[in-house]
Amino acid sequence: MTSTSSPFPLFRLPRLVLSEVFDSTTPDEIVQISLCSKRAARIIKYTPSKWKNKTSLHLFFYGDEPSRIQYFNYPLLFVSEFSENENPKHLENVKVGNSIALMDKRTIYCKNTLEVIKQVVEHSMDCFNCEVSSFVISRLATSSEIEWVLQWMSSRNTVFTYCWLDCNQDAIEGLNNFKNILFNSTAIESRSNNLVTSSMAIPTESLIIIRGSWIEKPHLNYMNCTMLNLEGASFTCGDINEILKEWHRGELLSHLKCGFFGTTNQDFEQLLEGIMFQMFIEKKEYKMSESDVYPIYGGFNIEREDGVVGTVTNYSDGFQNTFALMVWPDSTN
Amino acid sequence: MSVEPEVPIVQVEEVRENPVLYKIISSDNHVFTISEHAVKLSKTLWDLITNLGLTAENALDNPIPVENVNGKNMETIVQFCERHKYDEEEPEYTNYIREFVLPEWDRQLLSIDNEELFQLILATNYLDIQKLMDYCCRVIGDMAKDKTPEELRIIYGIPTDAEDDALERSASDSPGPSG
Repeated sequence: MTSTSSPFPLFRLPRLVLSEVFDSTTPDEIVQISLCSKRAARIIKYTPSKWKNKTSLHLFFYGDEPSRIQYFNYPLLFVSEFSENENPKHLENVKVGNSIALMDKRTIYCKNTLEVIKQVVEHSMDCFNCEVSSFVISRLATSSEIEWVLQWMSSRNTVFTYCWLDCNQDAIEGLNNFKNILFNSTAIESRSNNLVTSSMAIPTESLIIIRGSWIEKPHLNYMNCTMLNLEGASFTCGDINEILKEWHRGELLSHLKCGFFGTTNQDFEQLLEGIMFQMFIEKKEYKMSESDVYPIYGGFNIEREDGVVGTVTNYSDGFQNTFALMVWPDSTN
Repeated sequence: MSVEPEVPIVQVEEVRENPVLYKIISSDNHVFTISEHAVKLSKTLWDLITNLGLTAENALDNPIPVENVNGKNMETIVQFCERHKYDEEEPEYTNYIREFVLPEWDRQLLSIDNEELFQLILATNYLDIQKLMDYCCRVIGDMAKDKTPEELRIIYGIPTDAEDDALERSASDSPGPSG
């Protein structure tokens, strides 16, 4: 290794060379360098590198462990509440945005965690010239923390990619205030045990709800997604029959390509009552994408009034009754 | 222009197969010979050779002066280019840069003082030798591994905000060119 007799004058390098040096470091190291001084942060902000503009910034918001900002697979910084047990001798002072906090390697300790998380997020966005694209919010996060995150998301003039919202009823009440939060491609996932409807107002391409026993048919009016997974729902076959009839008339789930609906029973007669269908027994495949392929082992084709065909098939396993509705054509064509 | 060498010619490596040799003169008048395959690693030098119309016959009679690179750096550069002249193109490492391990020979070559490394990377940039640039950047990037901001300030000589402010104040207080 090089001698440590004198510092390596990093910021005296020509801009293009500095850019290549940044390409040879990892995003977490770039952030560490940016925390050295305001000037360092400014130089990083205005020096191009291969890491920039990648929309791969993720915020993990936990209630019981340090929150984390991550770029690709590189955790950049953790933010944790400062406890009196912490030995400040091992910590160094760091300034992020307007906040001064204590830091140990990649973890920032502070009393006003929400403010520091905000500063850390905005600092990271500056470093990589991109928005936070995805959020993972733990059910252990408090209502005020979740409200703060959503408030912040709402204030950004951007379209997010993904949000995993794993929280209890109390915490997500009031989500209706944030209807302007937009997602463009993947999922908002909620694992609420209780009756909560407000999150359904958030438009998304794909919606997965785990433990969705609280979902009722009227909630589907807010779920006009391409991919809908309600495996944990407790619909009756009568409910599914109504859903299929409304879909057939083009009144419900008109954008749906692939939907899974958890049911309490498996009564095909009730499921298809009053619906014109064609049964088939051969195996087919339904491709949502090249990597997302669903096998179909027989089922019932229903042709909508506009000529669109949907296949209803049984997707139950030993634990859960589930019916799928797959709308053709799939991504093969 | 013909420049008389003031110091003995430095034979960095025995040239095995390629009979075409070029002479390079550093800023401090050290003369180096370099093979055709090796010199091609430097886009700047190869463009110069091509533009000057140097051939196997007249190459050694027409040394190429490189005024921006001193003898010490040129020696390292020539060693590097001779070492890597027959290398195949390496795969691009993008997101997984840590998978790429700097070869031990090159790590040894680049185990130099930080100020020398700084001058070497400037020379490498001037001579446009991408592979050596990648390797130097890797060495500089590796210095940041597992370091805190406080440690990085020392490693990279980054002033604190207070030091930057003081520098700025003293710069604005100092008299201008006319004063």
